[in-house]
Amino acid sequence: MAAVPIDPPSDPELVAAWLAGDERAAAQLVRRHAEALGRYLVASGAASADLDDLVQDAFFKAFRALGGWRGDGTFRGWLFRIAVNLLKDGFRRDKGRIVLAIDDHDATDSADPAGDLSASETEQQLQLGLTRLAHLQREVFLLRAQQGMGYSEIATSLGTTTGAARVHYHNAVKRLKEWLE
Amino acid sequence: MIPCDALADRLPDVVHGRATWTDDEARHIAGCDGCAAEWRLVRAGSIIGRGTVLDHDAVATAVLARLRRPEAVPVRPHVPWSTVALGLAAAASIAFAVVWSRDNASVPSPAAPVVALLPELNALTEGELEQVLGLIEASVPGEAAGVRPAQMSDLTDDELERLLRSVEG
Repeated sequence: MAAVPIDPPSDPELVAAWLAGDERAAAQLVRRHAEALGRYLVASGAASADLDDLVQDAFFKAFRALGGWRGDGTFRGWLFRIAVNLLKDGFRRDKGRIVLAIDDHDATDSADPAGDLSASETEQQLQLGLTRLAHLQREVFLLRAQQGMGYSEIATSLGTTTGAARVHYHNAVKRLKEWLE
Repeated sequence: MIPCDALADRLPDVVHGRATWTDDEARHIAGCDGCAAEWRLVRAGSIIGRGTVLDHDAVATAVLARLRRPEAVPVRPHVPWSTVALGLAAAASIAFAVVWSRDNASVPSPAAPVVALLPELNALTEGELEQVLGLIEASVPGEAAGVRPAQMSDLTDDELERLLRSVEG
């Protein structure tokens, strides 16, 4: 008899299991979203040294507050919203210090940075370009391009509207294209 | 003719494998400088921060350990004794008013005496509150004020309840 593939439980199923006291469900949610959250936080300017603590704090606060969560949006959107707020608190404490994870030798000084760059080289330029964007433009671009979120999920994560998220994304893309050209 | 805007919104979905280009769309992107630049940008955006190293299992273990700990109880604010004394004086006057109104009313009045709520007493522990009540009992005015000595035990259930409610706020 052929084995029937079993779909992994969805986020809402895992959330319900966690609320019913299943710790394995919480661990599974962490494993599912931790890496993406870490990448997002680093790209948003979190220091590598603070990353483990930030990710832990975000999950801890998300799980603790799930009882009061109205369930609108996705668990990921809810988690990222908490992480965004934690990051903002950290920036306030550090007076807006944003860490760029780029080695000096990686930053090109070409007059034509987009000429024939590989995706990786474009990534380095892009990281510099991101620091020049307004805060919301940067966050929206990362959530859309890096995380692949839809506008509705982005709106949940950033506490804004779908329309505003769309506008910020297009403005971010326009400015980044100009920067790369 | 494929409008560039129609493709721009789908770039992230294609990069993340949730959509694919048709042959026409792929040809358009290859031949359109603006779309090609945006495609490169979104592709670069999708891999940004990919070198981030995070130990999922360690994070999960640490988060669960923190969740198992009981939630921290908020620290009880320190209430200075001057505040307690103020509350004590107010409570004593309430007790006096209750006893006085009972002794001077031929018919029990249904109207409760006006009581001031003392929110600062909320911060007292049960032991501290009992201490305050003991002091109230000892400090209720006696015969010198023209009122017979009063004891907490002299109060009716209704009076005692009103007094306690006023003290507890």
